[in-house]
Amino acid sequence: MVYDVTTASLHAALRGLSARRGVQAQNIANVDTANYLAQRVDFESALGSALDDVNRGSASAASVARTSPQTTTSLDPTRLNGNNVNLDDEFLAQEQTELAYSTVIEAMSAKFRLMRTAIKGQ
Amino acid sequence: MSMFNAISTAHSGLNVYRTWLDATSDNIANANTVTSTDEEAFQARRILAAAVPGNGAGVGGGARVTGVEFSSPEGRLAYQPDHPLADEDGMVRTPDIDMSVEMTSLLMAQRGYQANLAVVERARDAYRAALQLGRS
Amino acid sequence: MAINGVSGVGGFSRPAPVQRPSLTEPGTAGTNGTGKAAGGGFADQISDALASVQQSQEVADGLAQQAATGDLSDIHDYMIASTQAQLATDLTVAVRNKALESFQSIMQMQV
Repeated sequence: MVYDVTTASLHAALRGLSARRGVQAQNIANVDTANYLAQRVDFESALGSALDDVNRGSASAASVARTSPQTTTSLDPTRLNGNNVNLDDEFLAQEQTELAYSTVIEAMSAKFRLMRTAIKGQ
Repeated sequence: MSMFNAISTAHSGLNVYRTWLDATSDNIANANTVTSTDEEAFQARRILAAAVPGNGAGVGGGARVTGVEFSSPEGRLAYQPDHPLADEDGMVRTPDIDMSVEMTSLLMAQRGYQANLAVVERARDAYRAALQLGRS
Repeated sequence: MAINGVSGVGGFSRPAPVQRPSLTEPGTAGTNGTGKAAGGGFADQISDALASVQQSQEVADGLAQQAATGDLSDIHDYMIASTQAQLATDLTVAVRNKALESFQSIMQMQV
């Protein structure tokens, strides 16, 4: 009851966003590296389908906790040096990752606050 | 998320203005690139941009670069008999680039870029304020 | 001498009407009125309140899951739902505590 589906999905989102943040930092560090292709992280598809399974009743909450983020290579067009990192894209993607991370942290804190009110009785 | 829509709209604006900045800096760098009369002059680039249609909620989807316009290939004929590329009349081709126009474009592109960055910052601050809802 | 029934002690709704004791049953009329008004009404109110707290928590949970998968269209939807769930829980806990306090002070009354 303390670690339910919602908490598991928020936890999986935190893992995914943290992986995404690392990959974005790596992309920015390699903006001038020849033949470097930008990396992307996807955790939303695995998490979404695990949640759909749980809501349909065909999986348990533990399956949500077991989802993990996938790293893929971007096939965006490359520049002359074989590098396809777009600095504007990466900066804005970093902004969005930070906002999403703050949102999920807030959601998890709110859930724990609620449980603590019920447990403590005040 | 709705705050993110503002960010991706501003993102498309940033791409357009950066392309404009790149094209203008290319024009300025080549403002004095001389070619011989039997070649084309360096052609200045003008960026064409168009609005992206929105998703039906009445809000547009930003802007995008739709193409490039090139200035005239004849350029301007200039009399430079000492230039290694001069023809038998001493004429060379110089690009049809007006420096004052290019500097104005540079300023406008830079301002546009910064304005879109400000949109991103405002959207991000508004989102953070929403995250404080209900906190005591 | 007639004894008037005590009006309902449930705090959420208006007090139940006072039962007039009948002349043929002088002893039991007053207490009957008290029992029905206080016990049944209060218990129903408590279970309704708990059901709506449960529902507000479920709504907040659903929106939190959408936030985790990135499907949430407006962050303020989730923030408002989560605040509502927290406040509903706080209110239920406060009412429970007050009721407990009143019960304890009644039990400590010298008879």
